[in-house]
Amino acid sequence: MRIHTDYLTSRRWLLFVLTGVGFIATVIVSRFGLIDQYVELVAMYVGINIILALSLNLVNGYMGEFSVGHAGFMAVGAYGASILSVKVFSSSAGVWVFPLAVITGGVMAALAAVVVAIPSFKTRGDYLAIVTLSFNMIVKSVLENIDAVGGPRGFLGMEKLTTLPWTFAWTVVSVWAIRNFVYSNIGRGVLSIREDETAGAAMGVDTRKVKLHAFVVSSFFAGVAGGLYAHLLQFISPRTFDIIKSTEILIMVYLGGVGSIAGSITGAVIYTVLIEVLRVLGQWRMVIMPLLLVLLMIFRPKGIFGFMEFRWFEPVARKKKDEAVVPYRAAAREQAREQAGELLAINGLTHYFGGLCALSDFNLRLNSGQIMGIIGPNGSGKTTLFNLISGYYRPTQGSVLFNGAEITRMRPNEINSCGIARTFQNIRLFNNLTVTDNVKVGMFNSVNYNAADAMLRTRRFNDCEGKEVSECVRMLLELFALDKYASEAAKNLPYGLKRRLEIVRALATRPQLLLLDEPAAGMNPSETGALMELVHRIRDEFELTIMVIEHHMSFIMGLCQRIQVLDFGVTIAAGAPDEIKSDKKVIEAYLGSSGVSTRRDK
Amino acid sequence: MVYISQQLLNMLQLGSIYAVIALGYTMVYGVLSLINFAHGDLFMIGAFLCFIATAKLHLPFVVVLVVAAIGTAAIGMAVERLAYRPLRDAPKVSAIITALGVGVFIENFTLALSPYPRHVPEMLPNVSWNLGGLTVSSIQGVIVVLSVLLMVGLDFIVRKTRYGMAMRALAWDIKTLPLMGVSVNAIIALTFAIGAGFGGAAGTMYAMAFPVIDPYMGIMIGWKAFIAAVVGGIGSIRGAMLGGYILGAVETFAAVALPSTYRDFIAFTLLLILLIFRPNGILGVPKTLKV
Repeated sequence: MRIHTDYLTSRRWLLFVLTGVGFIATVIVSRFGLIDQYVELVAMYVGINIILALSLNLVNGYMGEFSVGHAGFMAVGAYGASILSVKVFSSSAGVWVFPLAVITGGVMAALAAVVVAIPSFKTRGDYLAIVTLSFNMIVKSVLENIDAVGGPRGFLGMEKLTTLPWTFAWTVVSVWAIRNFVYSNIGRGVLSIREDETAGAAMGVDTRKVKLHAFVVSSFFAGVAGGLYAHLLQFISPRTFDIIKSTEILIMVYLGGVGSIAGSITGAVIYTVLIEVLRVLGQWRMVIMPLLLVLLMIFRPKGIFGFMEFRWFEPVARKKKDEAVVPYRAAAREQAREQAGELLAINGLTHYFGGLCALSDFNLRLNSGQIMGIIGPNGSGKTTLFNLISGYYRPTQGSVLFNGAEITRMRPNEINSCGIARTFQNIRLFNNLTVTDNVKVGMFNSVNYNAADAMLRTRRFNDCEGKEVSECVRMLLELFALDKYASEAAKNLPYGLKRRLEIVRALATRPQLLLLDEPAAGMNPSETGALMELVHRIRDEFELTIMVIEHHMSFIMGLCQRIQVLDFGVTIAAGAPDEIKSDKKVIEAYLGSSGVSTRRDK
Repeated sequence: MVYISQQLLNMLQLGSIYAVIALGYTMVYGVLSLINFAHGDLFMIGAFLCFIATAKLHLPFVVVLVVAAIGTAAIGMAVERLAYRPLRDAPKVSAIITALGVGVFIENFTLALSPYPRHVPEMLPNVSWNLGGLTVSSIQGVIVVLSVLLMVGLDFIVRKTRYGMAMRALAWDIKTLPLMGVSVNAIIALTFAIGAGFGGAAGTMYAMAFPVIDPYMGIMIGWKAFIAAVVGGIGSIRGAMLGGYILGAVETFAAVALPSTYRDFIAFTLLLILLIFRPNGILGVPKTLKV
């Protein structure tokens, strides 16, 4: 969903010009006092609120977490900046004190963010909300107990250093940097956490790293906003940054729309201006504001711009087609050749759910280039096996060796980085992301630039994004005939293509071993046939080793060289398809102990 | 020893109030997985209803309690009907934001009507008994006993009655319940009524112990009760009770050991530490990851 503004897309330079003109205008306006001081003050509030809303939107909108204590980070920034400008430097130290103070405030807030980011590794949703809330309360409480910054009485003495040009510049920088962060590799990691954290980890997204980055970046800008705020009001107290302030920021974000830069800007502008306009109503304005929010949630729950973006906020990847790209398949092939031989070895793998033994003493040897099938009745432990291999469950006993190295207790994303990719029984795509972005998430570990490169749009970023990533994705989509859906949201694809996209996304992680969990579920015979061809093709073209769980017997018999049969967690047979077909135990497991003979007797 | 017992008594009083409010959070969360952020403000409404019934209408204590509880229950049901029901199928975050909005609305609406803090007159004669140096006031006794009665009653309703069974079933599977012939709307309305009613009762008890009330009082108390619910394991009724008393204990003894300004700091820091080691609260059951 995008608002198409091709006119502006083709005139991107207009944006730069407008920004420059805007900055010069703010300088002139504030220098010569051309506008009413009150209007100027409101304009500065708008700028600060845009930064705040945008920074919270990064965590709540883009990452899909629910942080309710954003004012805590603002407080850290405000106090940090004020201490620097009042206590460390004398007032007349020079013009560079202010930007330095604001940045220091941001850095301090970013450091404080670690406190919130670490619990977020394990917990999310409502519990993370509590963590952020507690953080807000703790910051307020700590500040109230530090006498050096005035304790509960508040902190005075800042000069009025925040001016309209400064506010404008910081707002533009924040919008630009956060946009750049969102539209980068790590930004896609952030989106994958919102869409489906489990699937993200399976695609190699280091969710801890991504969360840490998102919280740190978000808090940095909240701290910057705090620094600006402190030097605008020239007075801050712990009460300034309580839950009510946090709620205000939340309102701006959700009013404007989650997961949208345009939304945050709109939300901040509308809220700030409305609050001022409604001042005539006295106390009743604070009654009307929340009422508006509730009505908005009921009639337009995503906010004004929920998940929508103006085209001109989205960056254009700079394509560099002239340079040669290392073909993905050749690289994969080379890698596979090096690793020929035994790829996967599972020894005595056992897993209990409470008292129930889901998998018992499972052993397996898998050589490179094979296609192996795992079959068995429902509840026989097939998916449990996949979850153990890919790191979602910790086995009660046993070990998994991949390329001779132990991977038993690694996290899912680490296992993916070792070269194991998977699909899921019930398709887990990143539904609101485009087909292209779904595949790009799979390339999370294939980029060589970091978050700073992304935010500053360095050359390293442009080279990697514009060349390697986009070329590789284009190639994969073309190869699997998904290219005409490239900018379609994944949720809009028909069922068969969703299955295919999930496989493509897994391939983008450059695996050596691909685990397919019931890829043919819900397919008719002709679709199943096509899928069988596809799997063969993948194996040959990408030199992959494949393990498949499937119930379609014709599919599994036609595809696999070896089959292992599970029943109630126990391996009851293993061997070539023909051996399995005639195995007595297998027939029993599928048809019941006397199923075949009784029928004949009658 | 006497001093410690005295503090234990304070802890019981504070913990009882937290526990009764926390129940409202946990019940709504249990059936709808919604954090009703407006619940603290319903508690505040309870206190104001108590003020009206006492100071303006001069009703006797038992009637005041019933008026506050039923009045708050009615408002709770209205909030559910008007604000939450339209959002039942919407993303969870929309409902949570709505809850925040409803809370701010209730606060400021009350503030617009009553801009100054109010003093609630004494509802029961305050008698103090001296038990071997330990001072027990009748107010403390009433609060603790009343809370325990409410909690035992609720536990009975949820575990032993048809309606309680329907609530538990609703928490388990909101899609299947109507197939069993139970009206989901009715059960949710009942849950909100009970939760808000408990909030109203807690408001009355609070006004009895701390008679100065203001429209913003529900924010902090509400958040704290919410924390109590989380500490116990949100969604778990017994967890909420346990969490209420734990928070009461932590706050009371933190105030003993350190200057009272550190009370919130200690409470919230302990909460953070607990959440790191038991992310689902004490009695909460961790959600199993479905892959």
